[in-house]
Amino acid sequence: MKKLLGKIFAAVLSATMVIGLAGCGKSEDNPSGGEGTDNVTLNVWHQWSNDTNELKRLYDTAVAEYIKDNPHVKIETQTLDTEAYKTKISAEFAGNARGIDVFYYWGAGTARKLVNADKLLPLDEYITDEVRGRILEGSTTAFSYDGKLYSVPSFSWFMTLYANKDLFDQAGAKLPTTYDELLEAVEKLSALDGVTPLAAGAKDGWNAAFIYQAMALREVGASSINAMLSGETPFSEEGYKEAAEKVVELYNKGAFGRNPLESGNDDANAAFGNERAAMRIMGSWLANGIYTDETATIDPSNVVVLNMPVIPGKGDVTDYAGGFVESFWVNKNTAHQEEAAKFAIYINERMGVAAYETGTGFSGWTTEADESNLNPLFIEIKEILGNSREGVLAWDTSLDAEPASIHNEMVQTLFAPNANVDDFIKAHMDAINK
Amino acid sequence: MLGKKSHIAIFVLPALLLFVTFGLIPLVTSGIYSLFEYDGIGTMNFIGFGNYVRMFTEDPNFIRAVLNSLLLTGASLFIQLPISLALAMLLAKGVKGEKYFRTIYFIPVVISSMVIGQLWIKIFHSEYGLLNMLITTVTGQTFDYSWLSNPNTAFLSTVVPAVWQYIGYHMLIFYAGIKSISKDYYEAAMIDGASKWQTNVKITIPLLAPVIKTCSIFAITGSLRAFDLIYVMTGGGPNNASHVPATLMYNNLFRRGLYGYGSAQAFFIVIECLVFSYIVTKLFKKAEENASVL
Repeated sequence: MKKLLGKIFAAVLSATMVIGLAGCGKSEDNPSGGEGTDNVTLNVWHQWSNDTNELKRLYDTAVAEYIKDNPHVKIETQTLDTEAYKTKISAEFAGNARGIDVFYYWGAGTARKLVNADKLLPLDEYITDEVRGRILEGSTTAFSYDGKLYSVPSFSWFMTLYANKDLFDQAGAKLPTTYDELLEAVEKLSALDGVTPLAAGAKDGWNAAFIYQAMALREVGASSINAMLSGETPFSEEGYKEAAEKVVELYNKGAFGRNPLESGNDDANAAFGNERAAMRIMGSWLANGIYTDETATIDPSNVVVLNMPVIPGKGDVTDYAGGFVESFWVNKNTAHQEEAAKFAIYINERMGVAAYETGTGFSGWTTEADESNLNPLFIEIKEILGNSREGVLAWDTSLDAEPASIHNEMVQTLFAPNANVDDFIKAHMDAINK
Repeated sequence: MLGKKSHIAIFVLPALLLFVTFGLIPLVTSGIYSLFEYDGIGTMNFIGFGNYVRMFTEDPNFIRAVLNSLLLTGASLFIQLPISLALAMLLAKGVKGEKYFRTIYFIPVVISSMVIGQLWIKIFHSEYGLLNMLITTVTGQTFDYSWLSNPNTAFLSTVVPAVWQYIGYHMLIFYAGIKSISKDYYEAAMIDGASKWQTNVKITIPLLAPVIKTCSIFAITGSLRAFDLIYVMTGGGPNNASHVPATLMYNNLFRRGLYGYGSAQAFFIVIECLVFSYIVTKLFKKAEENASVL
């Protein structure tokens, strides 16, 4: 009997090992792909999963051209929705992420974890002087860690205040340039029936955070915020508390409607696009959506973009929210470091230029771009950007995962009755100054 | 050639393998992870039971999540199961259109939780939600309370569909149990002059004890590890008010990147379910013995 048990045990063990081996074998075969001497298959991951997404189309065109010029390279692309994508990447890199060669990710605080764990390939030796010469000055901050460049810029975003001129006229309100004017406009706009003065989309934490970050930008100023985000200075009450109080004040004046926590980013964009909201604080990508979204009823010529309202005597009008943070990175464990690096650099430049040409973002490259199709709103944003100097990235991409998610959650509490600003500040201090 | 025991071993093997690879091994690994401070990618620092201590002493969200899940458990046991049992008894007595009702009650069970979540989000919506419209019509005053975005009502609003969804499931199990009780008992009781109510209380429920036990365990463990409906409807918000341990665990693992801490919470859910199942089994021991004597 004992002997038999031993045999069974051995059988179970070997079966488990076979299953295990089969699992490993599969993932190891995948990235290398072709058996020919020079044939290379690169597995590329990105988060533009929706077929209506302009960036997905641009990416596919760029890849097709790359394959044409490099016939020995095969590109296998995988996509997932943002939240699922982030989860997938974290899970893959808990191991060796064997099925990923090149992938889309966020720099600054988000990729730091991967850099610290030595999961990313520095690209310095693959960036030729010629390529380096085309990179826009000052656009690589979010991609460099300890003096090494782990990715090159692609395109940047820029936060503005979008306003519906028609609704402002109906309410007899003035387009705001200062915070007090914003309050005034909110009061007048809230008198309009069925119109939310400023669609917050606060059900999505990052949407709520955008509004707070816009206030903090004007209260505290870009350089102080950047010092705080990078850990040089601690998060303190000064300025940040006033910014939170301003969000609460706006909420109490009815700026975001009665229940802003009920609708997310998509709902808020739709509300603005269908003239049920007079304002929206959003990234430059919204400009493109106003023209291309087929469900929107708004006349694009009715939309104006404005610089974030300033608080007189504080901050600097040339500060802005936005910058370069998204790009393609290379897994250090890839079997084809050189080919993967070459492709990553190529796709970043191509996406940067293409995003600019279609009016979705600003290119991180001095490469000549076709400006004939830029939409008027985007040109307005470009003018504001031209007068801007120091930028602050979205806080949740600059901070580590834990404080980032606490920040987004805590900001949401400001969009409800009886918000407690002291708790808000304390939670931030605990999370960021750790 | 093969002895009887080896037969057993061979036939058990496939299920055993599946259980070990997809049940036991992940359980043990999360148990191990829970003893470390680990962000899922970098180095692992052994901190003993530090994560568990943190859970109960430093994390008000976790305590709140556990209390929420206990509330859900209570609602399942004392609202969901009695309704299911009552419906099952009614149906089993032979109502007109018995099969028809059986199917209708079972429909929510087959619908995906995602769909149910979306349905109830619409019902609870402040502007166009069915509930507020009803209140507005009845009272004659505009009522635009936002059930899901207010910390006081967010969790309760998810309990309602959670309880509603599985009424049909438990009903069907009870129904099958009642149908399998021999008609002889009822006939004998009728001859003795027992009323309908007496047959229900003295025959059906005692004989149903093993089934009630099974349903109780399902209801309890299902509530303790509830995730999908709450994740869809509130995502644990606003301000972490409607978390249950499973949604909080997801948040810690995948949003905040706290693999060690999240694993500790996952492990806690497993232990919690085992403890409750054990208690229920103990409580029903006597009743079950009686049921088998009859």
